[in-house]
Amino acid sequence: MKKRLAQLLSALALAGTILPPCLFFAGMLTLAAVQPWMLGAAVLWFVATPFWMEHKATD
Amino acid sequence: MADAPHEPVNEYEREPVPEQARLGLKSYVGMFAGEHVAGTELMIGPLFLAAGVSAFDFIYGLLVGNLLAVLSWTLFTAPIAVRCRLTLYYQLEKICGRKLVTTYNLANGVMFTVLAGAMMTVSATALGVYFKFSMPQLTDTLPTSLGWVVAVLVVGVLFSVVAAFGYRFVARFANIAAPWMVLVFVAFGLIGLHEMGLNSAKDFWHVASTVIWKGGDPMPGQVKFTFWHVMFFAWFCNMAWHIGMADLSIFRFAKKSWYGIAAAAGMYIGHFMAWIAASTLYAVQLKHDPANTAVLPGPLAYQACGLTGLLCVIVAGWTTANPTLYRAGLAFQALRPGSSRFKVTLLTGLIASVTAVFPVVTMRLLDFVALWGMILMPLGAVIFVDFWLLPRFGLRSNFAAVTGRTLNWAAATAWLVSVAVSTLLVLKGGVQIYFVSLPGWFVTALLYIGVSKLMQKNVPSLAVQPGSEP
Repeated sequence: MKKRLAQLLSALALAGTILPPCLFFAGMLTLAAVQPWMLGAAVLWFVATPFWMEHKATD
Repeated sequence: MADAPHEPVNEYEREPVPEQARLGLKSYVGMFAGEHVAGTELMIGPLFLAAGVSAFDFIYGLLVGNLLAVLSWTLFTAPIAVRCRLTLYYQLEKICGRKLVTTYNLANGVMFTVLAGAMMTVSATALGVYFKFSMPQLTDTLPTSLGWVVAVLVVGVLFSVVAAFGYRFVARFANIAAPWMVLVFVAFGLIGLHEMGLNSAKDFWHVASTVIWKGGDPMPGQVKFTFWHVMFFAWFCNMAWHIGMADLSIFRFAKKSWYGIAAAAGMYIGHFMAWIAASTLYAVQLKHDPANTAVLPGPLAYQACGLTGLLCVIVAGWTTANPTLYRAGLAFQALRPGSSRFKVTLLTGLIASVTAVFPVVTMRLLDFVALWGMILMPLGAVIFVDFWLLPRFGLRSNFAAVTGRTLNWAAATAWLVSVAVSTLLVLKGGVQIYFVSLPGWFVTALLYIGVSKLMQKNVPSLAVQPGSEP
């Protein structure tokens, strides 16, 4: 359940990273409005993702 | 660019990878997609624009060059990797002998160290946005302010300590950061393109060719880039990995040789989309201030995405400097097997930090990457010829292993002469460094066959029948 919630938050974070620039590209959002959304999404991504992303040893 | 060879695990170093350890296509797609969106993409993209490239030459050059790179992995590296299933180092040792592998490790270690320094430089530019110290311009070769020196050294020492202490932690962090970083690069592109006046996809070509990549003269100190420059650069920037065969070490785990096409994920996300996005950010900077020609990833990313952009620059530099430093440390450690990996990695990082202070490498990153390929590619040609061609000429493969020699002079001669010829062509022959590795490959191949024939003639018991299996 916790993992599912974390995955949902990560998905929201990715959406929050890419949707504001798309809206800026479409002329529906100013750059000043894009940047806080992206920052919030980045924080959310790095908080939520470690809870579910698997890691294989790389060395 | 791929900033370090990708070694998924450090096992089966002196034996073929067994069937149960083999990996599927998905593993390779993820590996390539993650590792080719690096901090250095933010430097390379703008340098194309500084080289006065036109939209056609840039876009189509990248499309074709990246395709050739993918084909090189698929047709050169992976087929030998899945037939032998050995690491590059062990394969080289069998062909060339331990002494030549040691020299290869030294050259590789130096290149990795300098590249790690370039990644530190990239991350340090993010600090400049906040601390407002003077940062290097495109033509600078020496540090431009005390603030710059301090910032680079602080970043470098931090990266080095973390790489020495916590490689696994950063490797995990890199995996987590990768999907987010890819989207931030997409965001760079969308924001940059809109800032350059693009409002809908159907106008892309018009804006790209008349506003962004207009062609014309390169900036002072830069070489003019044509389609051929872009194509060869995109093809050869990871030459040490594909034609140079460094990625034998990762494709030895592949179930099928055609998994080499997984490289397309890295090439078309990292070396196509990310370079275009980074180049667009530079165009935005030039639009706002034509006199500001500095290629500094920190300010470029900040103008588009604010703090997220700066975070991306630091994360991209950090996560790619980490494995680069680690692998440089491993290469040097192989020279003295008893030495502490911690100490070697730390020392390597500190040396990289000092090189990072001098912006000459970072500002000439295109040349450096081409030089890397030129120096290490010949041993890939030796492996290719040794595996596929020598038996067809009635010569024996794996000469060092078969004869117990520690140095195969045929391979050493082919490597040294090839690098010497390539260097001469660049310095005296007027051939630009981006093109010289192609003739260099053929020089190496012919020399290796010729000298092997001479050497093996004196050892008749080595002769094999033409057409026998390699």
